[in-house]
Amino acid sequence: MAPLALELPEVLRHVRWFLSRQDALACSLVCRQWHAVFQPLLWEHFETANAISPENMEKNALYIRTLSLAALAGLETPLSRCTRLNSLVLWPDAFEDEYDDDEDEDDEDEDEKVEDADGKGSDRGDSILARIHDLDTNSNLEKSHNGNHVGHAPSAGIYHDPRPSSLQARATSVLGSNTNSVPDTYPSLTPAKHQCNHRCLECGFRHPFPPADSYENYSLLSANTNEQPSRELTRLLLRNQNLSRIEVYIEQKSPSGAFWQSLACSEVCPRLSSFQSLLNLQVHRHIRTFWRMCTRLTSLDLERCSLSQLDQHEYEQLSFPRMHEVRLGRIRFMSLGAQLQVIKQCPELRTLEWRVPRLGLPLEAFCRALSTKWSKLSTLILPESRLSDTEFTQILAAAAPLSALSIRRSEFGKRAYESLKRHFQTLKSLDLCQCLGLTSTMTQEILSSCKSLENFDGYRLLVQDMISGSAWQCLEMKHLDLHIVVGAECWLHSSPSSTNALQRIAYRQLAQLENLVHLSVGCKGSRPLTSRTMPSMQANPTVLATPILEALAFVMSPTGSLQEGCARRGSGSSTHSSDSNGSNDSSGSSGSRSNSVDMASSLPNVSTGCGHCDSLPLSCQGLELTLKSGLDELKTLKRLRMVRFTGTEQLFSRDDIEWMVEHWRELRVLQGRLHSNAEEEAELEQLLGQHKIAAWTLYNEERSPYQSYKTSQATQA
Amino acid sequence: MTITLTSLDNLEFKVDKDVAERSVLIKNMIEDVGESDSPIPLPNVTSAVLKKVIEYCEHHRHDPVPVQDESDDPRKRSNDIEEWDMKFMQVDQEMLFEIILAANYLDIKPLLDVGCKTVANIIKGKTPEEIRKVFNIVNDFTPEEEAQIRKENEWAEDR
Repeated sequence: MAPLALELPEVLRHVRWFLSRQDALACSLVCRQWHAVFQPLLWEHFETANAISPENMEKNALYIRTLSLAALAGLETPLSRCTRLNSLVLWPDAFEDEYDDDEDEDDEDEDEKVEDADGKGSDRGDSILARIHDLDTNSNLEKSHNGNHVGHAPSAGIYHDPRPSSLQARATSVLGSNTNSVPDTYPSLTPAKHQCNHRCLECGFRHPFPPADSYENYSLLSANTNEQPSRELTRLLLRNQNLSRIEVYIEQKSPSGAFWQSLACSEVCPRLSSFQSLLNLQVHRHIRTFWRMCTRLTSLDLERCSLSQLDQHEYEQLSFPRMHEVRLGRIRFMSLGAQLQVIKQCPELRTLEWRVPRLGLPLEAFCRALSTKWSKLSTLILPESRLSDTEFTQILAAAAPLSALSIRRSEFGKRAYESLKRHFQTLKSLDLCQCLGLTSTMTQEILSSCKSLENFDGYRLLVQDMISGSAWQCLEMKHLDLHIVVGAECWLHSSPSSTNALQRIAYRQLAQLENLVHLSVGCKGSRPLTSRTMPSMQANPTVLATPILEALAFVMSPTGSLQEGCARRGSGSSTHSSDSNGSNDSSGSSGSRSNSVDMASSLPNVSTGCGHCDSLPLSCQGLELTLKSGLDELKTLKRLRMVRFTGTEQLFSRDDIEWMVEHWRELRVLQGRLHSNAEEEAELEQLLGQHKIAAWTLYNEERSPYQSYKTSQATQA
Repeated sequence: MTITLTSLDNLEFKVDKDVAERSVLIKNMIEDVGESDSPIPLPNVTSAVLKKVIEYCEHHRHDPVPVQDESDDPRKRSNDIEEWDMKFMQVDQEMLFEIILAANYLDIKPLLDVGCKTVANIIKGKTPEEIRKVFNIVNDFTPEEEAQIRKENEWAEDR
């Protein structure tokens, strides 16, 4: 006897979450009861690009919730059964061509208001819908073979009454006879019955009747339908009342006026809330209707689109009362000012992602909007923005306390940091990836001030700062991505054992983050200086500052260079750490080291001022994730799934890996070179593989200069 | 504070409040009833199963409470089961399903997840016939119906 648990649909549905499509397929063949549960789930997400026969699609069309529509041809019948879509993804061939009559609808000289609160007041909207409705009834009439022009005659006198109740009455009176309920061919479809409540195609649709002048068109429509561009897409929209999300991928073609006008009408897809197009959407002729559609949305996501620009006063008349999320990428033809104008009309805005190129941002207006228009804004993302430190200062000062901020690769710096402090208490997510102006001290301060921080992507953090700074408060941290380095000053002047001691103390800070899921301590490879570039001075002169040149010259001086180097450091000019390991040269004779050429090549990165000269990029030694460096302090990170250390040079031993396997039970991926020796690395990879942990070793930086130094140390010892 | 739970077969189990509250059902009951020493009856759960459920809750007592608003995005779900949980679930099929039913009834989502993942792992890679064998399910399809379903769902194969 089958177990009772597996007879409960909710349990089976829960199991389905963990099954692949293949397995769900097998499950739907097990028995009728399982079929009833799994079949709908199998068909939930469907793409017409699958070579499927229309009959099969038709039978299961009611289960489809997300439809990716590649083309309309040949799919009229199954699409007529798709009435329960939540989400529609449209590809180029799914779009209808324009009718000639669409041109009348979108006359650029239209005086009509762009805003349309209830979608009923506009003549345009009504007449296009009437036209669509016409098509429906036309097809119905054809189907029912009664050539029933009479069906329309009574309506001729009833022109355009906007009151819904009267419309409804008329709808049933004329078209009621055409009602045919969808046959219930799915006995197992228990919870979701097809809702035939005068909304589906067969029953007719609640809409204003065609105005008198549509008779001209009616004669067109009643002609041979083979000559007409299909209105399939529009019909599909009409019959899916639950549709809330539309994604459009279209190139070299614009959606027809009928498409936009259907979507702009609030009676069509009343739940419509989300529109996205990430590729080459062009809206010119129908731009007003497009914005009318947008006034219904809660989420708008446009990337690489072309939108005709309207006059400012037209934008000011728009209102987007439900808009919570706006994402605008590259928008052609629409100026930043115009875009801002639109965004300003969204009082309920929670999330703004706005690609703002270097020039053209009306900063004052933007800041004013931040402080007055968007009281609920909590997420601000400015990708690829080249705004200056001062500009960010103003923006961050104007915005309400944010919970998520992303301004990667920007010129965020000292002043903006001061403004950022206002957001410390509320920040959950902070992305300052590769912001060179984010100093190690700032990073340490962020970690010890932001209690709610869960995601942090920063730049560099020096171990010295970790140790000398206050305890980290961000105990909710889940994703941490920082290039943690032991500054050159540390490792050049200390013995390996004291470096290890330093790292151990640093690990103790890290160990507090017990919720950590993803830890990245590697660098992202933006402009590290390597030993190869430095001696030959091939490094970009704008990057290398004078201190480096001076220090190098110093080191290279033929006189007792080591002493001078140390003395200079001792004199307190902290930006010139022209250091060498001369002071504890237990290995190698200082004699050979005083040769300036050797010095230069064996002392990489001599002068970049490690932690003190924050504006210069470093390639100092990253953290060593080994037991002898204090790795076992991190046994508290029980939730760790991924650790990245690309750009660092690790020399893991078996013990280290085994420790990781033992203590980080959730670990799935290690990213970075495990060992400089390829053979040893292969062994370690194998060991990891046995424990089902993937090692992504291929992505890596050039060998860091520290490594060359270290191996040269080892050989001299 | 300890809570007393009574199983179907009238055995009493004393558990700490935070352990008992891993079950949302029990948590709500406690909130409704208030501070009280009277035992909470669980007539749907036998003592053997309740013992296992309590064992699970005790081991996971310090886990963060699953947040309700986490999106049910299938891509975010992992099919991995912790080692302890895997050992915990090495029980006979009958007990496995009893645990699932109990987790469902008591509303202990993590335990329900683990149970369903275990079932999913059993189902993985099997043909319908094999699934039927494993769970002792009778095939009530006619051969024609089966063929029809296979044809309809052809597109889902190899994905």
